[in-house]
Amino acid sequence: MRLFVSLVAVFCIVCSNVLADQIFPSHVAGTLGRSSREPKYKIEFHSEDSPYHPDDDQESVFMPNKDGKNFLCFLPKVEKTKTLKPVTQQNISSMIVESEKQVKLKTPDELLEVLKDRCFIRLFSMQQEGWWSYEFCYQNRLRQIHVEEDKVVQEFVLGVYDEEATAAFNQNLSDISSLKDPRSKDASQRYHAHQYTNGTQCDLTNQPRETEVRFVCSEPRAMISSITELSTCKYALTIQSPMLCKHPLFQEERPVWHTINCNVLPKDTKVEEDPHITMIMDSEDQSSNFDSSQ
Amino acid sequence: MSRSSCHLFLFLLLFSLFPFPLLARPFVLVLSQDDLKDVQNDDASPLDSDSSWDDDDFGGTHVKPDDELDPGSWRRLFEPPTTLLSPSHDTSLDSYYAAVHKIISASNNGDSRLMEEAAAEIETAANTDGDPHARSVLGFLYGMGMMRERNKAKAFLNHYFAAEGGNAQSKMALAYTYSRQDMHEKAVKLYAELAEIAVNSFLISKDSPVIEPIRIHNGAEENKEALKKSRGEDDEDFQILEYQAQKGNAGAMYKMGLFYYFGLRGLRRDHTKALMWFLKAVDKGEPRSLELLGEIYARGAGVERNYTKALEWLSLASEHGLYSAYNGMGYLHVKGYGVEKNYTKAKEYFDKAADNEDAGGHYNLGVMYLKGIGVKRDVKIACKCFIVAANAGQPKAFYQLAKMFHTGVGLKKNLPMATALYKLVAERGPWSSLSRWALESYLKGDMGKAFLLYSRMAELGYEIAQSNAAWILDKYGERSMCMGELGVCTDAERHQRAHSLWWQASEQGNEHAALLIGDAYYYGRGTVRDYERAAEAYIHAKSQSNAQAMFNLGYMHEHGQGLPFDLHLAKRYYDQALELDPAAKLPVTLALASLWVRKNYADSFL
Repeated sequence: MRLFVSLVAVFCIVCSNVLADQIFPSHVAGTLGRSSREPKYKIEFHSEDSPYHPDDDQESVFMPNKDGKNFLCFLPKVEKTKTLKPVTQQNISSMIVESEKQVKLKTPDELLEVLKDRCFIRLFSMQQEGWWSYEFCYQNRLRQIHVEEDKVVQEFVLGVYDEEATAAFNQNLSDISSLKDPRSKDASQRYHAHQYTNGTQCDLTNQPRETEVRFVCSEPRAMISSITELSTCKYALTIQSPMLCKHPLFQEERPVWHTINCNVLPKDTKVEEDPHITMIMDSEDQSSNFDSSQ
Repeated sequence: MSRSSCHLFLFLLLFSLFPFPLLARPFVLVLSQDDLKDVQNDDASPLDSDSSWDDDDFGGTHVKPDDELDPGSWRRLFEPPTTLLSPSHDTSLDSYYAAVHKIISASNNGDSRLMEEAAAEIETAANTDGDPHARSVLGFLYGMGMMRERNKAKAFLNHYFAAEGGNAQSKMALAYTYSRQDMHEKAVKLYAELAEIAVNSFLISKDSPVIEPIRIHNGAEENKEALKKSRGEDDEDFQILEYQAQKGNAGAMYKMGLFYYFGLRGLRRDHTKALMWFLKAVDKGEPRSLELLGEIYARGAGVERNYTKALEWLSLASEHGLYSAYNGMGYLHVKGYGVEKNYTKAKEYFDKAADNEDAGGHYNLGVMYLKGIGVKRDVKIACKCFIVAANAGQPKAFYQLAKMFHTGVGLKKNLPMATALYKLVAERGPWSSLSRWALESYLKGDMGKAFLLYSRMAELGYEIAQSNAAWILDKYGERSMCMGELGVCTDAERHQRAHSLWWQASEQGNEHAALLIGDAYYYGRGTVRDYERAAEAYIHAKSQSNAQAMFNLGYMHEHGQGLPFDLHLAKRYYDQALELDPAAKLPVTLALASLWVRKNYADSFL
């Protein structure tokens, strides 16, 4: 009887959700948003008294203007697109040895410690899981809940932090794994994983639910970015964690700012072809099929 | 046992009742209580002193010529002026136009030598004279990698200086780049400028059909329906209508007038013809023309401006029950054109329009409340009016709301939202004629030209142009006359360009684009075959409710390609695909059958 009543209640609520005229700007959709790793460009202007001093190999472009104000602009050096090779244990330890002289290297877990005892909650309204909210408590548990009027009406535990499983997982993979990113054939998203196991029993597999919680370097603040079901009742939750960006291996994931520096040229600079300033067709800039620096 | 089956039942029931993914609408506005500011009218002072809130919020009658609004516009090359314009037009732009003309004809024939010539000319113009319009084209060449190496930094630099020099298209390109890079302060400023220009060219008439660029494809196929309706005077249906109008059919006459007035169905705007048809229609007793006649006289479009006549026509229209005519009448009373300024009457008129579900009425009321014209200033009410108007599709309302998000007046300051709304409005500015020319070229069979124009528009941020250009590349391959760094595009360049275009389209919400990116990885087209990346791309498309993507994901789960082998998930995806798109019945049924066989007879096969 109780079940029936709750079913009816659920039905009514769902119906009202469907019929309610909710509308969303279509451009906000999708988790493949703007890549934080695509190079970003900006221009900085320098006055005559404090001009920008370029490196020798920086390409320069002379930009005259109709109103007489001329500029000499220096393009940022373009690094060749590095293909991210899989990280092996040896690399990290050698890196640790080198950098330990300067800065004590923190492991990803240490960097993530600031999240201790914090909980995040997120409602995904665009996807099918619009019914559910997800509550993640660091090194504690992950829940899938339905909230109504500030009360949790339904709940599935998707996993509880499992220290042993996490340690075992990271043993094999040296702390950092990576996910392939379709933005380009070379792009990947590095993440650090924690295993959460022993959730609510799943009827389809007769196993408890489990989740791999993935921490990625991404600005601007710590939050749940997505949840997906890898296989039945096995989930992957992605958490954006800016604190992780401090780790050298994740630093490559930070947004890359390319600054074009422009010096104001004194007004009486003649508008003539300066033999030094030529357009260098730098063949290294050549991009192959799918250039990740779009 | 019964408990778990109850759970299963509950699960299934819930599942089947999941709110279905909302069908993609072009744009709809969601505002929560959070956005509405709890403000008393204490914002009075900043508003009055803000000079950007100019007098022309009702806009529309004083329409400037396109060359002024869109400096460097290519209009001259596509719509040569039929009447002699002011003889003192800028001869310094001649070399610029000559070069652009070369580029366009070179792209038509795939003539790389001509293209190279033109590129060199453009470069000289840009680098020695600093001509902003040439800079804008140079930025385009660098951005695409046409006759020059693909160099985003140089493209950005050129667009920046071109925008500073006043080229509107570069402003659009720059604003789009800023918004893609999440540089919201800069983006919102530029887009605000552009939106203002666009808004001032909007008409005040009742639901002026929004002339949006047309998507020439529907999924993978050509969108024959839409294209048929855009053939202008070559279209059979149009010719039939013309015949009927000539025979005296009043409704047909009105439609003809409408087509020529707004420039619909691929026709060029022709105010004289429009006027002729409307007058004829009125003679035959067609009331709808009355309102547009009023507007024509108020704007002086094809006739000498005459406010008294305008008012006459509009009043007549309103007497025939055309409530949107009240907007025009109210406008004339607000401005005091042809009548004495009378705010009370104006408000009455707008109220009448609004009460009868006319979006323009709500918009106009909003402006009155916003500025405190004839009513006590009340930003909250203004905001509500604008929201109603916006949801009915009134583009000027989007502009006002964007302003509110931008300045934080009436709505909580929200720069990303302001940028998005401004962008919507800005995309309707005079530079959107590029889409008309592109479509004309496409219909004529000039693929190269069409591709070039769509690519230009894609640079400006138009998602439809991005997907059109990419589709042309995919569909027509070499015939698309794509121009690469050293000449006609190599295969690699073509694939790279298509990928880049689809990518940008998908960022802006085009889920078909994400699907295609997935396909490219799945089948290894133009890139290495990569099932995992394909799956990621499909997942993205699925989150935007693409049935095909769901089906593909189901398939990949069924076969363990790029995704873990999982028959439960496979079935779930197949079911979702069918729910979303009933046309998928056959493939889904077959797939489910195959699943069933696998599940039950797995041992015997594998």
